[in-house]
Amino acid sequence: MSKSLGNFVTIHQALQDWRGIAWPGMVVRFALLQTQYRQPIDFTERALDEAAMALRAFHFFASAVPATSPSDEFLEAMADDLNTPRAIAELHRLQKVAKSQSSIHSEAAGQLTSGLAQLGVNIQDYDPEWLQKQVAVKRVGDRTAEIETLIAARAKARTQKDWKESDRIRDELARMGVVLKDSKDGTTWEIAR
Amino acid sequence: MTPTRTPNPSPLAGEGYARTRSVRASGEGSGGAVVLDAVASRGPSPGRSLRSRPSSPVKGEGKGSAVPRTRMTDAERKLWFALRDRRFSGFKFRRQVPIDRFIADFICFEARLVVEVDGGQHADSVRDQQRDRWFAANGFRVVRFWNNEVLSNLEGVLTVLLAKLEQRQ
Repeated sequence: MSKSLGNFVTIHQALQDWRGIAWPGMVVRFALLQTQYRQPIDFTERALDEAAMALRAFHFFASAVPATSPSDEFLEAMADDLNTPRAIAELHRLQKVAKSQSSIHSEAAGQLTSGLAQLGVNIQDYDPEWLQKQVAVKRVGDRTAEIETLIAARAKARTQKDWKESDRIRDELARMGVVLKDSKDGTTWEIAR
Repeated sequence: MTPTRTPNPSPLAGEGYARTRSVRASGEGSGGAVVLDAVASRGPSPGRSLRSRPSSPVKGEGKGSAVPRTRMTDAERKLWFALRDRRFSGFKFRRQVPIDRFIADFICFEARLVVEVDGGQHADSVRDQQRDRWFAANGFRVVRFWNNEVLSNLEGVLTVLLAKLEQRQ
C-alpha cells in the first residue's frame, strides 16, 4: 500500500465506505491493533472482517459485566513494548474462558471488558448487528418507508383483530425478505437470511 | 442388481463413502459393479481405496475430484449445514467444487464467490496466495474463514459472508 501507487485507504474512507461497507471506528481500531505498532500493517478486508467477528463474539460476554481490571497476561503484553497482538490473543483466551463458565458474570468477562477498554474499545457501545443492518439497508434500499407503512397497517389490522389482513401483510413483507419480530414494545423487523 | 458390499466394514464408514459408492453402482449398471467388485477384493487399505478409485468409464471425467468430497472437516460440515439447500438467504451454494486444478470448499456461482474454511496451516500460505490470484483472475472473489471462527462464532461468520454476497450486487 503506498500513496504513489494509489492503493491506499484513509481512515476516513474506511469509516465512510470501503469495499461497500462503512466500517465502525471500533472495528478499524481493533483491526489495526492486531499488528504491533513497530511492524508494517497489512491492512486488508480480511483483517476488518476478523475484527468485526471478534468484537461480535466479545460483545456477547463483555457487554453484560462491568469492567474490572485487565488480566496479568494482558498487562504484561502491553508492558512488552505495547505488544497488542499478544494482548489481543489474551482477550481471545479470556473469551474462551468466559464461554466455558456457567454464569455470564465471570471474572474472565470482566477482565475481557477491561482489556478491551484499555485498547480504546468500549464494547458496551458496540452494536453487534451493525453489519447486518448495513446489508439490510443495501438490500431493501429506500424501501424502508414502504416497509414501515406496511408494518403500521398490519398493527392496525391486528388491533381490529383482522387476522386475515394482518397475515396477508406479514406474508407480503416476507416476500420482500423482511422478517417481523413482535414484542410487547411493538414490532421490529430485519432482513431474512 | 444387488448392491456390491465389501466383506469387511468399510474403513471409511461414517464418512459417506459407502453411500456415494452404492449410488454410483446403481447408476452405472452391471459394468460398474464389476469395477467395484475389483475394488472390494483389493481389501480394506484406507490409503489406496481413497486415492485410487476405479477409473471412470466416462473418458475425461476428473480423476481425483469425486474422492475428497466425501470428507469434510467439522468446520466445513457446520458451515455446510448453514449454507445448503439455498437456506442461506436463497443463495445457491455447492460444496467442494473442482475448478480448474483447485477444489473450492464452497462456491456460490451466482455471486462468483468462493468460500474457504481453513486451519492454521493456511496462515501466510504461498500456495493459497497463488490460488487466490487464480480465482481473482477468473472473476471469483475468495473469502476465507478460520476453522475456529466457524466453530465458535458461526453467527459472526455468516454475517460477514452475507455482506460479501451483497457486495456483488
